[in-house]
Amino acid sequence: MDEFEKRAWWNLGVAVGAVVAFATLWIVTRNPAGSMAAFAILALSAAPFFRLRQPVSDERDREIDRKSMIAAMNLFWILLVIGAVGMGFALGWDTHVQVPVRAFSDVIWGGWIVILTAKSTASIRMYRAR
Amino acid sequence: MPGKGEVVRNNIRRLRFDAGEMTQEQLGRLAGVKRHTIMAIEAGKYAPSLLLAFRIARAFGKNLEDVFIFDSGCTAQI
Repeated sequence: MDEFEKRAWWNLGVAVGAVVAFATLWIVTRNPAGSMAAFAILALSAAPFFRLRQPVSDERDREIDRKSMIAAMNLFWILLVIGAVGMGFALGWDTHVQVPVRAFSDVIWGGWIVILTAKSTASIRMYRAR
Repeated sequence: MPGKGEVVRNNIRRLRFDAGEMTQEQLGRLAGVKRHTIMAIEAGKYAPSLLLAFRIARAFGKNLEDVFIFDSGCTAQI
């Protein structure tokens, strides 16, 4: 298996692991704020960059990286627009709501999870294309 | 990127055989890419850039069209 495909599998595992850990903590502790500690798992997505010997990429790796990033950003953008517009329609554009500060953190972590999952899934799909 | 019905086939497997069973690793080194990329090109899963296609052809001492064949997907009518 190609080194960059392994990296994509790693990132997918990190993203899924963070979601599973968050859900598990939430169910067990019933503490949404405390459950956010699970997102620390996402830091593991940086682990491959700390390797002393970085794998060499060639034009196919770079093309897969570019295409998978575009796919991930497209998905993120669609979800962002649906979320932003959908909330206005669902709650009413002039409605005042109170949200905890962690809601903003959740959105940022959620966005990162979406991008990480979509990018790694697209990369794996392209590396394994028949 | 090839259009509908368009395929870029190649003779890399045969040329490697003719070149004394050259390995994908060796060809990759000559062309400046990884073995996985040669595997993907050989299997028709990846269309190389023009530069890489020239490098592969040069590695065999052949012209581009001896290595890569463009198939437009339609038969010429006479």
